[in-house]
Amino acid sequence: MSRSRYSNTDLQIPRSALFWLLGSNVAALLPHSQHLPLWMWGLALFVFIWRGLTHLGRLSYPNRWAKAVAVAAASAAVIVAFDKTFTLESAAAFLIAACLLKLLEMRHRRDGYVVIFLGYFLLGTGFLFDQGILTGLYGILTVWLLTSTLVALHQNSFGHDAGSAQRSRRAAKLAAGILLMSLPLMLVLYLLFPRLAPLWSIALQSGKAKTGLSAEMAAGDIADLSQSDELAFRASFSDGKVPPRDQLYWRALILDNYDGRRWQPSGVTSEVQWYPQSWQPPAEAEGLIRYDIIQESTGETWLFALRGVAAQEDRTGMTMDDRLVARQPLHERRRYQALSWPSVSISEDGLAGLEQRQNLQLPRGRNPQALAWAVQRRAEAGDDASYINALLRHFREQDYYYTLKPPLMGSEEIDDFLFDQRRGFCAHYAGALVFLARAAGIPARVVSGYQGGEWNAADGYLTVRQYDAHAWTEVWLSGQGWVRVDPTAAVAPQRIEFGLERAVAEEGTFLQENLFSPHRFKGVSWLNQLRMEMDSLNYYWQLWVLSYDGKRQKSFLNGWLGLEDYKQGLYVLGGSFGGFFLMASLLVWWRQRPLPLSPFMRSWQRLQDKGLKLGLEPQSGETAANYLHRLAQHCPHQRSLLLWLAAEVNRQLYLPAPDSGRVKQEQRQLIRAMGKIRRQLRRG
Amino acid sequence: MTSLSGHWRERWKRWLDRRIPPAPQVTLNHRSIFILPTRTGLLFMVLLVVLLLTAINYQNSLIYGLTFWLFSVSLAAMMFTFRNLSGLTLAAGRAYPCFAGDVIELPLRLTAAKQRYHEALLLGFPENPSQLTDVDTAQIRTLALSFRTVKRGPLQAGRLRLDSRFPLGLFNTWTWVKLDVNALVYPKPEYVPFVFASGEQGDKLSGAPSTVSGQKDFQGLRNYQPGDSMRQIAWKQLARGKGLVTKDFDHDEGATCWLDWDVLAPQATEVRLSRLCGWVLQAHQSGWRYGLRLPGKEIAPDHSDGHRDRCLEALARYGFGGGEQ
Repeated sequence: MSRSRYSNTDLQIPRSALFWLLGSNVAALLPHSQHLPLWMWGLALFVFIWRGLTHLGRLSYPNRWAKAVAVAAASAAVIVAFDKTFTLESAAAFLIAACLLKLLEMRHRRDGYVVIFLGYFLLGTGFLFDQGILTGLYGILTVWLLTSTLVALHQNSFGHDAGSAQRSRRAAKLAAGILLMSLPLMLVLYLLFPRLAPLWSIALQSGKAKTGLSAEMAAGDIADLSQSDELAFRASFSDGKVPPRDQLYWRALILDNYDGRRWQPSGVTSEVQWYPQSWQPPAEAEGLIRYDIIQESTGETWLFALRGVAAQEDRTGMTMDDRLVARQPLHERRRYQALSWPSVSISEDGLAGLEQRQNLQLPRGRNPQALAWAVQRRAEAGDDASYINALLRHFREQDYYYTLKPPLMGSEEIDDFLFDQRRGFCAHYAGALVFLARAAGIPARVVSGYQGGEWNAADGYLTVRQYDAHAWTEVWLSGQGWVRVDPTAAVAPQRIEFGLERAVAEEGTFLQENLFSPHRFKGVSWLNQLRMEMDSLNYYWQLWVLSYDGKRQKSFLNGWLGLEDYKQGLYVLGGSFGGFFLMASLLVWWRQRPLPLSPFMRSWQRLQDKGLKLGLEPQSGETAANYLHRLAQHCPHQRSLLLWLAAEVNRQLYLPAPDSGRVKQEQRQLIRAMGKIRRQLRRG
Repeated sequence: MTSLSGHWRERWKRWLDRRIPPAPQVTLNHRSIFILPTRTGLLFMVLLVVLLLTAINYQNSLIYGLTFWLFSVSLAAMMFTFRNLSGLTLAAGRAYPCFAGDVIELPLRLTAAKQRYHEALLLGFPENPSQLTDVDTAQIRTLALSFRTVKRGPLQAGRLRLDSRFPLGLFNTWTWVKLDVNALVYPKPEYVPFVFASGEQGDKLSGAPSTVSGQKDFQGLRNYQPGDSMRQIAWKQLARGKGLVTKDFDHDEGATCWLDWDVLAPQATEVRLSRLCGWVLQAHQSGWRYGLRLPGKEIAPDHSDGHRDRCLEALARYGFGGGEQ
């Protein structure tokens, strides 16, 4: 049947839609620019120029061979550019290359569909790399552009009523209308659609190296990390119980194995107890701190928590060495709750043999000077606690310096640092302290994580950035268990009390490699104000939008809508769907309801009905006067009245009185006359 | 199999006739508009499923948001696609007659609903070419739909289909409208030599200079007079520079004849009508005065365009009753 009609999908792409197609796809792939190889832009430019020339009629579409070569070349280029790795970035690059080549060859409307749908998907994959509030806003713009493109693709390009600019404007306006209309339902779905746990674990993850702590630590690592102002996590405390800044030691890793160069986790104490079987502090314990953390993705399983932590959520657990961990590596931002009891004493009765041996381990025959010095100092001190205090005093009173630019140490690292260079960053001090403690027979370990953070008093949350990365130590004292000792606090107390910026102010090395970071300009008050505002905007975005998961959804349903369980949620979901359709049908009915007649017309209608009853059917297209004339023939008794009425109606219709007051008055008279005639009307 | 599908087609037609009765003018509403997702719409659903799986597996809130937004858009698209047809008024105009087998141009008047812009409407009769058109707010658009006629008589065009996928292409909305088209299809003319009616009245061509009818013999040249047919101009003479000269033929203008149904006696009805039609056209072109005799109807000899149309109409309406208008 449809052979001779041109089917809807075989239509050519309208000329004005081409610009929409090209423009909206550029918009969809712009967020990918960070991880695209440079030649991809070359490909895009090439495609655009070719398409432009085709549009102008200068060049033909690529033929089959050109297409095959282009596909092969682009695939090979992606494989080479990403070094044969299959990561999120290379997958996105494949998708973008496919999209660009499709843009080149598209001809019919169905090619346009493919390009636009790929554009939507590209936008979605863009969100895998960044979910910031600006990306979200940009996403709205892109959705609007892509939807306008879809509208433009269906516009009639043969019509000559409107110029292409006008047509495009109308497409954009219509798309905006559709998108706005779909917002309420989208919100309902967003809030109520069940948030499931991942259905399967995905091997496809970002190959980009993440900034952040690494599992092992060489002395200079944390200093490098301090040059970054990237967000590590945000924390908020319930009940407003914010611990003082010098207690904010966010523990992530225990590094208890030293090979003379690097500190690593030995794994001796990393056995995990998963929630809810894990240890919980007694409910009536003093000084419990409950907090909520939104952690940026790390690609690792460790989470950040204060001392004495207890896991509070499914898929989290705690290790034997008092750390919080997740079951799966964090490839996405994650929000979790934790509970800490900082005053708890850990292992005060003694260490297990293996743990004790591991925390006394030293590389054999290294740093002999430090070894000898430690043994001597330990003997002078008398007991373990005063020995550690003596070490801290040593750091404080001798000319040790805290610097972001530590010199390169020799092969006997600790010796070189302690006795020659005397300049170092937190990792140097922590490493040296642990070495000296172990040398004197005291179990000790390096802890790495973050210290401090920026408190946003207005909105009540703490922002911890990469430059807050820190390393400190824990030593085991009999009767007290593991005790935190931070040598950096002895060398540079400002670091702990005010943060890194103050600590290295004299040196001027704060974010030295990050010239335009807004964090460098905390002194400029309006700039700092602006930065803080932006930061809290982002915080609320993460709090309310990005970290909305199954648990949050449950509490929302419970707290806001008063729903007991999911079944009721489903009813609400179904109800809102029903409501949506009911509203739409009501709208349709309202639009098509018969308009109420004017009194004059109603009276005329009733006269006609009476005529119909007497057997005189009004004919379509018949004038009022004509009908009245026929009626006059039909009912001779009222003939003169009917003829008068015909003349009056005609006058009223075609020669109305000049002022509206008169018109109304005459109409009222006519209505009365019609009523009278109707009642008298009789046949024969 | 065919009878079964034929049975269903009949039921479908009856149902349609009840639901959208034939009328001179049809305003589309929810009763007359059909809507279903297109293949593109299904592809869009596949996209949504993929996006949803991505959102779940990566636990990504923004992809969740995008998925739900696009899903809501697809529902809204249903309403917008429906709105694109709803309220549109179609009315048939009066068409010029044509001969059976020719393509008739049926004028169609489209009136937009109040404050509605109907875009990208695809109109056409099944198995006939379609047209794409827009109807702007408060605008009346007239267009001519082509329809290849098959049979003579008052035109039975059947239902015309109006399609639209605007704005997003996810849904196809359509309607089958039957308009009372006021069009006449003349019989397909068949040209055969004249056979004139025998009998006492006008049994042959009378009053013609030549007894052999329909044959025009060259008589000579004369000077061109305004109004002479282009075909009669002696182009060769003109080329030789002898000025405009007209070739003069003997002519039988003013001759009178009767074209009679009965002389075509053994033939079938339609064949007879076709031949009569051919004769009417030939006689008119020759400038004769001709009359037409059909069973139950007789048109007295005359010669004019109106007379020809009357004769052709009589042939077209033969057997349909209805009478003349």
